[in-house]
Amino acid sequence: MPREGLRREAKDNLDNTLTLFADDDLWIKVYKSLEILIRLTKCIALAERADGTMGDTFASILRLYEDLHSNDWSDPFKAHALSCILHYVNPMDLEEFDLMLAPYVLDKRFGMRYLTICWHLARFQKNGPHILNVWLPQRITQSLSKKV
Amino acid sequence: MASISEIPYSPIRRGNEENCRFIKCPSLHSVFHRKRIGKKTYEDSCKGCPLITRANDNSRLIEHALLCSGIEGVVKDRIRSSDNHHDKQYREDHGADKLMAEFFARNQIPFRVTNCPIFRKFLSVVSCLNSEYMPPGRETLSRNLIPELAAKARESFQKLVNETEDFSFSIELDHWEDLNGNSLLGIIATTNSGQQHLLRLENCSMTGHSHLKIFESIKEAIKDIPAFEINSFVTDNASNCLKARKKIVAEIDSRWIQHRCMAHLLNLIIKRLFTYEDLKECLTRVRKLTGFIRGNQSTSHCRQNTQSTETHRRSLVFLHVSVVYALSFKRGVAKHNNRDAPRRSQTRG
Repeated sequence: MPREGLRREAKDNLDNTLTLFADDDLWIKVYKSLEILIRLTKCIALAERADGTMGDTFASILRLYEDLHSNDWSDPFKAHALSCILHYVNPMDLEEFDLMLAPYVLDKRFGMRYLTICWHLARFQKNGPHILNVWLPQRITQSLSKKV
Repeated sequence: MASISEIPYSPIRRGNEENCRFIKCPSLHSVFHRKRIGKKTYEDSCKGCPLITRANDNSRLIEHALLCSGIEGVVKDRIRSSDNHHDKQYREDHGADKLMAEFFARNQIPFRVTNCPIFRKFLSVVSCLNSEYMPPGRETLSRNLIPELAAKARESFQKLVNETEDFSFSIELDHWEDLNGNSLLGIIATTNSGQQHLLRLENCSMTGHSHLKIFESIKEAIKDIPAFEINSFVTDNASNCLKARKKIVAEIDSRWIQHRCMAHLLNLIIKRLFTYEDLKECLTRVRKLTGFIRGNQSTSHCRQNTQSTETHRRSLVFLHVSVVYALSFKRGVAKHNNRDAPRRSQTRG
């Protein structure tokens, strides 16, 4: 009977959906991925804001990087997110890294809080971290290099 | 006998053949007595002199009213001051049509809306309340008014270019596809204060979008801006845009700062994030669930019902829908868990 077949199919479909809905693993994964995606979308919102600045956006990226970096690396998704950020935001591939760093460093609001991260990122560069040498007084870079 | 100026302005009754309305110029009512003689033709008799005319032309009637010796000066002044508002010159001076064109351009409303009978009917109803304004048609909007607006915007931008300091413009460009599949290229100039001006909007579906074409388009767009006023160049990460950007900076002024769009860069990071297998799978499952909730008849019915409520509409939608979903799913999950359990006997002691 076609009607019965349809009913059975609808019932199976409903059962599958309910099984999916009751699956705890799914919601944990959704929560974990949203944790990072929301942060990234906030960064985009900052970049798209009419009064948004390059310094603000770069600071938000560095903040996210710091959070991920200091987090537990055993979670493969977080490690993947970290690699994704590093894939694009690194001085080797990003020609504008200097330009992104300059407004951040010159903005007093941020107080150069994430400068160590910038230092880490700058180390990826071929010819050494010349960006920091250009933009910062020699004294600060020396102290930073000692820490690193 | 009461003078003409003291005659009160009586409300118009449509369909009354003895007292028809002056469509374009209501103040003429105090000078002429109008009588309908055809579907769209009237016979106007002057109240100050024995003139009877079937001209039906407001400008001629106004001309007569201003010259007629039998009409008082007060009435003439009123006609001069208020009734002239409705003629073409007044509309042009006060820019009703231009405002309308700006409204259409700013809100990106299709021009064909002006020819929509319901829109015109709405305006005719509104016009009965106050004025006699009728909007210009689609052709007038697209051929005359919008180009006029564009010319005005260009003029004001040129003025801004002459007034601003050096290195104050940032040029941005992007490619996208519209709903019809046309490939568009937009070039925008942004000032230090964040004001944006569209320099060029081009349909490049036929010409293609190689870096050379983009280079030509940019060159054409920024020809009116002196090189020393441009501060930076921003594009997305597409290879053709990058090449065009580098070429133009190298060719015109190497002092220009060039960098890619930050939002686009972050979007690329998100796209790369979605290559993760677990996240992909998670997304497909969540999509399936949301599809089920949307496609389900009972939930969609609940949603429609809540949307039609009048008071506290927005808050009610969220509150009610979430409660309904929670209830139905809770019941569903309970049913699902107990499906294999034996049915409770319905017999009563």
